[in-house]
Amino acid sequence: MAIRVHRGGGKGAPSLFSGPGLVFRNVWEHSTLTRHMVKKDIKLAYHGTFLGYLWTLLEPLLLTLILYALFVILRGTSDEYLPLKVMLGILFYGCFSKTMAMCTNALIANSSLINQVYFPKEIFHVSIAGYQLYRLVMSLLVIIPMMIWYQIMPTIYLLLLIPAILGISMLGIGFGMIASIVQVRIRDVSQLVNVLLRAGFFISGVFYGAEHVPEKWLHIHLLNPIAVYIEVSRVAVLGDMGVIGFNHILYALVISLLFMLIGMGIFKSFESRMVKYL
Amino acid sequence: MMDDISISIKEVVLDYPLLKEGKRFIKERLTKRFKAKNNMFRALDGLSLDVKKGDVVGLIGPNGAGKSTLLRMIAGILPPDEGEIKTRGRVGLLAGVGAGMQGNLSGIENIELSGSIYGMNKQEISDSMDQIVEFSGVGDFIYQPVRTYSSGMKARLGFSISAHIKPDILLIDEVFAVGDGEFGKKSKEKISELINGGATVVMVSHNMVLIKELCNRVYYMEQGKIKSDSDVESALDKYSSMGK
Repeated sequence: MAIRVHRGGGKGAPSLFSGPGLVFRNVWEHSTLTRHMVKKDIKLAYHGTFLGYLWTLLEPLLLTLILYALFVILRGTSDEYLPLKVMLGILFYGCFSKTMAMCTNALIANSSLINQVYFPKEIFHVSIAGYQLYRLVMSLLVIIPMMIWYQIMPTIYLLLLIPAILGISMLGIGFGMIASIVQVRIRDVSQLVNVLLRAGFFISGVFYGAEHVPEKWLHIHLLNPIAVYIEVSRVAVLGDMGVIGFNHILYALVISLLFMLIGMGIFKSFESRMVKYL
Repeated sequence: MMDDISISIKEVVLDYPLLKEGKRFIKERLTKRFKAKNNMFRALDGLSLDVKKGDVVGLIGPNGAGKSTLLRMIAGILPPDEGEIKTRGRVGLLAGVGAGMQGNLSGIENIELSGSIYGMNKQEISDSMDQIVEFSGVGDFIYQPVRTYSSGMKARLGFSISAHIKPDILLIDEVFAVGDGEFGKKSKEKISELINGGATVVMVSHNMVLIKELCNRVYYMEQGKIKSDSDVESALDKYSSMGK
């Protein structure tokens, strides 16, 4: 029978380096739980609405319409692909911001559960990310009719959607884990996260392409991994590398992986000490 | 850790932060920052306890003595600030049953969700599904969303789920007040069944009749410490002289 030991103070807490390994092991060992949590989110998402799953498509479509109209009115455009580009931006940024925002509140929102049952708390974050991933993939299906409309032939570049999707989830889960820990002690964090996510919406190229960014700002723009992923998704669909190079993709993936590992490390070493503040 | 010891608790200390609402704002935070140490409440004060395998231990004492906190620490929910807690095998905590239930999901879906939260795998859940449904006695309502349940039905379903997780160590925090008279009896029988099955049990209760009936060791707790010997009589004596 398994012996479980809980030691006092920081002595019992896992080190920063062992955190990621623990997260992966726990999620693997609790795969039933993780699946049920994701399933719960999917079932409850549009519970009681008439249109149900259609909202996954409708919401980004309507947002695209608004932002596209706004862009045309303010700037005027000759880019016929802009609606498609805006759509991709909204879907990817939506995935990141929803993962991040939900993760930030994951511990607070489930405090009564956490106080009554022992289980690894990273399951919350992982299942949130899993649910948002599912939503992103499901809503990306809307790209198919758009590609037919534009008569875009799918190319090998389409495979680039995979690193973009995974990358943006890793980034969201990493930031979200750190934010959720701090949020327990300092409840101002979720407010700050909301503001930052709003700001991120404007600077990450959601409703404009990298080609609209002035040349001298472009390299700074592409330091933002979210902006890179959004741009990569456009490359994938349009089959044209544009201003993006593989070095940008590699950079964004490394940054995301790093933040995810750091987030997991911080989360695991502080999670159990946070319970009494919940 | 010796083989026949199920739970070993050594000199455990736990401080709870006292959150005064005013202090949460930035001005007070900055000015009173360094006095923060004083705002702690010592819930457990160097408590040690060994529980042998198969023992049924009762914890009694006044409110705020740290009984529920101790259970939550044994369950692994709260880590100690100092000291060490070792447990052997799967730990199940019956407390405030119905945690994690989703009002908009059906009874069946909630059994799957809660079961997996309690650490059951897919096989275990599907194996005990029928038993859980039958024991809860909610009948055809099991296919309805839990928000349509009466509070008694919800509590019965919650108890039924947590009673079927087959833990090696069962921690019980005042759950006998569950449901109507009939179900109260049924749940007591279920607990006895788990005890007879060889589970180690630690229970917190204010019901002395129940404690006397089920427990072979009883401790009286006060202010985060154990204040009595392990035999039932001396603990109950302490309890009855409480506040005198």
